[in-house]
Amino acid sequence: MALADGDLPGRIILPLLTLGGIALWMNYYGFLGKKPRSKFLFWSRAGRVINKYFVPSYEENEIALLEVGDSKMDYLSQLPDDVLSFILGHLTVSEAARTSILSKKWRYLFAAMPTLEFKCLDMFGIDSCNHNRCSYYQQNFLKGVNQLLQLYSGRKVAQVDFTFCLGREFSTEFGQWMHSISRLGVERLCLSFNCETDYPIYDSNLIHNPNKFEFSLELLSQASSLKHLVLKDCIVQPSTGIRLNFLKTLSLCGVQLASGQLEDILSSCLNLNQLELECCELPYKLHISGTVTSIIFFACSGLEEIDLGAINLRSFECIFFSKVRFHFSFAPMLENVMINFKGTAAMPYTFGDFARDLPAKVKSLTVKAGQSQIKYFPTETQMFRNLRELTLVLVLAYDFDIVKISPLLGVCRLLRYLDIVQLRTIREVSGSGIRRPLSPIYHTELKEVKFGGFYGTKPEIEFAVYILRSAMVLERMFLSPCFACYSGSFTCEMEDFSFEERERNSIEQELERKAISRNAVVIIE
Amino acid sequence: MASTTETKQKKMLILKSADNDEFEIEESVGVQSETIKNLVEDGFTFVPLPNVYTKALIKIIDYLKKHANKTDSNDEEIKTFDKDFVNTTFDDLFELVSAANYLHISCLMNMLCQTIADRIKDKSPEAVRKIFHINCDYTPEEEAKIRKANAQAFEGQFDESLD
Repeated sequence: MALADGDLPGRIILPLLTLGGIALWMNYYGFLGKKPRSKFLFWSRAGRVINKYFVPSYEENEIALLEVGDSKMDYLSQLPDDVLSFILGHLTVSEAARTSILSKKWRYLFAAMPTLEFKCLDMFGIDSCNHNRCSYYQQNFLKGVNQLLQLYSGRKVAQVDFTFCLGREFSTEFGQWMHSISRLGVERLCLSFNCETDYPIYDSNLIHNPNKFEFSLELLSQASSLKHLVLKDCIVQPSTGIRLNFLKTLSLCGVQLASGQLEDILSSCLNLNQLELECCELPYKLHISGTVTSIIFFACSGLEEIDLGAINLRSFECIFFSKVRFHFSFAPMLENVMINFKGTAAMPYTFGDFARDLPAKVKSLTVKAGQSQIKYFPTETQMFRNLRELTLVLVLAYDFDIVKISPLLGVCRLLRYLDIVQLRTIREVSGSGIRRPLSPIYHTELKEVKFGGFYGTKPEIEFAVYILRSAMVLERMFLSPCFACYSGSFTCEMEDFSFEERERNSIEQELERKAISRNAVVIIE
Repeated sequence: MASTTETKQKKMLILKSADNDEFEIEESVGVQSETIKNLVEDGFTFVPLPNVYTKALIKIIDYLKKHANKTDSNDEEIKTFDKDFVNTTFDDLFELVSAANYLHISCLMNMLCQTIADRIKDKSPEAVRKIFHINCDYTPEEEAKIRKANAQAFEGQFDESLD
C-alpha cells in the first residue's frame, strides 16, 4: 500500500534497523535530514528508479510523480511487462483474465502468460480435492475454455496444461480445442483426463474406467510447433498413418496400451528423442524401435518381454514390479542402463542373462538390489568387459558384510567409477555368513569410488581398505554416511547424519597409508 | 567435504549499489543470484549493480545470507524469516521485485510475485484498482465489451475489501 502522510520515517527506518544496516541507515538519515522536503525527494528518487530502468519512454512521469505525491502512485503498472506476466503466472487463468479490465495497459498482459493452465475446478476457485463437484461445473468449464481460447487466438503460448475429467461425450468440443491450440504455437502440451489422482496405478477402478477418454493423436497432426506431449489417464486410439514428426518427447502416464499400439505411436513420431511411460498398463510384449535416444519406464504393469531395437538409443531406465525379460535386438548406441526390479528375486537374471546380453557399448550400469540377492554375482570375466561406471544401490540390513560384493569388481576390469549406496532400511539381523579371506585383484582403471551410506562399521572399513590396496591408479575415494540416489522419477536422500570428530579420526587412522596409488585421496564427509 | 576445503579462505565479493554504497559478502552467498554468478564466473570480484538501490540491496543481501545457510534444522526459521520479509509495503515489494528480477534470484522472485498475486486473487477488479491505484482509462463501453468477451472470468463473488 502507499504510505499515508507522516508515516514515512517510521516505515523506512524501522525495517532498516531490523535489517541491521545501521551504518547505512545513518547514511539515509543524513540524506533525509539535510533536506527539508525529504519525503518528496525520497519518492522522486524511487520514482526515478522505475522511470530510468523500467519505463524509459515516460520522461514526464518524474514530474507527474512529484505533483501526485507519495500516496497515489501506480507502481504495479510500472513494473516491466515480463515481471507482470510472471506475477500473473501465479494466478489461475480466470483470475489472470480478470486483470484485462483494470486498464488499457493490462488489456493483453494476461495473454502474454507463457503457460495456460485449464484445470476443472481451479478455474472456478474451488479446491481441486472436491472431485465429485466436477460434473456440476462441466458446462461452465466448456464455456470458460472456449472464451479463453478465443481471447488467445492469434497469440503465442509456450505451454498449455489441461486437467479435467470430461468423458467421451465431449470429444467434439475437445477436438475444437485441440484445433485452437494447434494455432497457438504451443511447444509443450499436457493433457490430463482425470482430476482426481496423480497415480492411477494405485486405483484399478480408474485404469479400467469404461468411460475413459479416447485420445486420437490425429487431433494434433496440425500442431507443428509442438515438441513435448504429456498424456495422462486416457486411451490412445490407433494412429496408423498419422505423422507427428515434430514431437521430441512423449510421456504417457496411466495410459492403457494394447498390443502393437506403442509401436504404432513410435512409427508416427519419427523424430522422437525421449519416451517416458509411467504407471501404464502395457501389453505383455513390446518392441521399441525408431529414433528414440532415451527411454524411461516407471512402475508399469503387464509387461513381460521387451525388445530394444532403436538405433539411437543411449539411455534406458526402468523400474518394474515384476521380472521383465530383455532383448537387445538392435541397440548399438546404448550406453547408460538403470535397472530396478522391485521386490522380485531378479538378481540372478540381472547379473546373468541380462548382463550377458547387454550391448558392448554399455559403459554405465545402475542396479538396485536387496541383500538376499547379493550372492548372485557374475563369474564370467567377459560379461562386463566394457563397463566404466557402476552404481550399486543396495538395500541392506545394518550389519551387512559389504565385503561380499568385492567379487563383482573382479569382473569389471575397465571400471573407472564405482558408486555404492547402502540403504539400510531392513532391521533384521542378516547373519554373518562365512566367506573366504579376500585375495586382492589389481584394478588398473579404477579412479574414483563413492560410498554413500558408509557408517564406518568393520566390514565397511575392510572393504575400503580392500579398494585402497587393489586400485592402482585411484584418485579419490569418498566415504559418507549421507547419500542421494536417483531412482526413476524420484531421488532418495539421506543427509541428516555426519561423523563426530572422534569417529572421523579413528576411520582416518584405519585407512592411513593403505593406498597403493600415490595420488589417492580419501575424503570422509 | 574434505578437511582441506575448510582451511581455505572464504572468497569475498563486493557489491556496489546504484547509490554507490559498497557491500562485502561471501561469494557463496552472492552466487544465489544468477546475474552475480555469471559475473563471478567471468572473474569479477567487484560487482556494480546499477539497477539496484541500497535500500533494496540491504534487504536482498539479508535474504541471500539467510538462504545460503539453509539446512534441515532451520527450515522453520527460514519460513518465519520469509514471512516477515514479504510483510512490507507494496512500494517496497515492487522495488524488491524489480531488483530480484534484475539479479535473477528465482526463489525470491517466486515468493515476491506470489505475495503480490495473492493480493490480486479473489478481488473484484474495482478493489484491485483501488489497492494499486490503477487508473482505469477505458470508456464504459470498452469496459463492458471486455467483460462480455470473457464473461466466464467475471462470474461469481469477489472480495471487495481493500486489505
